[in-house]
Amino acid sequence: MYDILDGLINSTFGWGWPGWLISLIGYVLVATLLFAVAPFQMLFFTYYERRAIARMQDRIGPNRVGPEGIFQPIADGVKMFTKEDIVPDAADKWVHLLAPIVVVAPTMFMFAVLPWGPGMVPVDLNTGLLFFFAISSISAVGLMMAGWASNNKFALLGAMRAVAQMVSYEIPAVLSLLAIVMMTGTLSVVSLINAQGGLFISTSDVAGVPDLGLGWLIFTPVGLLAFLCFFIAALAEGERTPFDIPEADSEIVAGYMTEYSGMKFGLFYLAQYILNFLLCAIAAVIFFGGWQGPGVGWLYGMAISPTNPDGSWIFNLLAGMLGVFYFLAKTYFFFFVMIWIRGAYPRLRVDQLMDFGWKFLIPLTLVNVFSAAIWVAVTSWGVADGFGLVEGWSPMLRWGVAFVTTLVVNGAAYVIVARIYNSAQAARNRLDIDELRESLALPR
Amino acid sequence: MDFVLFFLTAAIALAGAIAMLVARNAIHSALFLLLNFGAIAVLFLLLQSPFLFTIQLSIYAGAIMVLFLFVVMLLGAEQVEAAQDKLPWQQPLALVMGAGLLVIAVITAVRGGSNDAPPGGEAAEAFGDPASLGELLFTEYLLPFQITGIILLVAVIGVVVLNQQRTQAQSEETPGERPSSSVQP
Repeated sequence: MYDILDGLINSTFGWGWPGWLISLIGYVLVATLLFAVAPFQMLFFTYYERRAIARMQDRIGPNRVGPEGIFQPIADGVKMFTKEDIVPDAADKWVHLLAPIVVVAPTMFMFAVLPWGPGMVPVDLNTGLLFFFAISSISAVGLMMAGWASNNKFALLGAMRAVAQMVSYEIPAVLSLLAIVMMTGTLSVVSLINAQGGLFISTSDVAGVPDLGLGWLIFTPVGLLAFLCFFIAALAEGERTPFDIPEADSEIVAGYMTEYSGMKFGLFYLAQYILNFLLCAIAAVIFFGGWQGPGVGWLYGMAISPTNPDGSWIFNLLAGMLGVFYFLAKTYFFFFVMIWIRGAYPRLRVDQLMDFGWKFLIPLTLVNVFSAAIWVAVTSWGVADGFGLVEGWSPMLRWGVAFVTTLVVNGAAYVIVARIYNSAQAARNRLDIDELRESLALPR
Repeated sequence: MDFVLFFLTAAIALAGAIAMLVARNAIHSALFLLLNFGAIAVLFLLLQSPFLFTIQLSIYAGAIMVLFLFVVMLLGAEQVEAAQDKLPWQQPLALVMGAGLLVIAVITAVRGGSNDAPPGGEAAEAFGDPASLGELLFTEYLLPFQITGIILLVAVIGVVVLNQQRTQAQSEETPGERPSSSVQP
């Protein structure tokens, strides 16, 4: 971006503007673009979800506004804007006003590190992954502000549930990412995607085979388990069914959003759908290679890039389009899975939610970190690291041994943890029934 | 450009800190503290250290502030004014120590010459990036790092022990009832 603008302003027009002004213009342009794209994703997602869930429930869904109801979200938006903004008398006015802003702003920040296609990332932070989760934890504060400032029992309960859930499920999410970071040795989202090129049987290239862009981490046992844990944790962070406890409408009205109306309510809605989009996108980026796919690497090899300055811009365009297509296809698919789960599962209880997070997901992700260590040791260590056993092995043999070992470790861990968890849950359910009988004074 | 950003952020950080002290409502105090943490994080970013920026955000602004808010809201302690100060010597002592710190800061700023380059010249390329930070933690500062870890572990164990004692005491007060620890989530 900087190079293009610099070339355009200083070489083509010869205005000689200073560097900071050009980078300011560049970033403002990118930011404007992202702020325009994000709400459209949200509009599309609401429509997508309503139509998809309607299909699963044998209904039709919104189909009146425009062809196949495609303009329904816009009509809803207009409705939100024209509604009266009500602030409760007993509310803390300032905190009540600021809460939706504190919830929306972090979700917008997260777009800063999201790569859309080859060479299409707003900022390549060397700690992009960490930034993503650091920022997302800020919106928990916003939820809490909303719940407290509303001065309403249900709102406060909803906020408590939301924050407890977010804090608990952030641990398995980050631990499953830790395994990935260990395998790839990077915290930057861009180098994470670059590490996922090549072939799906091996992250290292085999001579004579073109770069298919299929070296996704999901094809390794470590990546598979990490993905499953991460996706469940993402469901909880995005407050999707079966983890929509904070806004369980049959119990606590709408949780922390109870006392909000009009566009402030709309902002919470916006934040939630954008967060869901981002969680799906980051799952696609980390485990499914983001924009990596057959053809992108080949096209980008002929385009203008830092390593190849005399490429052709037409390939930039083609590679970008194909990359964005792969990326969005994966993202939308994950959102479809979220809708699917919503159509299939009932809501959990609060204690079940906590048990599942702390006693099932966290042990599994910890074991996964252990197998990531095995993977790294077998595939890339040698005599220099004090692991001379694998020194003479060929890359394919190393890869195969690592694959089998981690598969066995992860599979065994899953079986053992699931058994322990199931028996503990069964024992607790028996206890609950005993308590019920006692309190009802029924004979055993 | 950097100067403008620095002064803006520093002003926000100071304003947040002062407002936190002045606010009468505990929740407002916590939120102003959050503002202060956010501004400090941006200062780290101005020092070319995105890693410290993210750590500051996730640990202080994310984890610790959420914990503060949670506790204050759970206890409903927003408006509690201490009926009588149990530590009367605390306030003057804090004033004296704060004043001392301010004097030291001013002396350092005046003597050091704020326009000089920092010792060691330009910040290194790898300043504060995760790899170099991790290497330092596991070589030069290994002992302090381990001690910090043990202190945190002791805190965790302490919470479990205290909680266990209380639930035992409760079950002794009301005989016949099963210890509630077995059904706690």
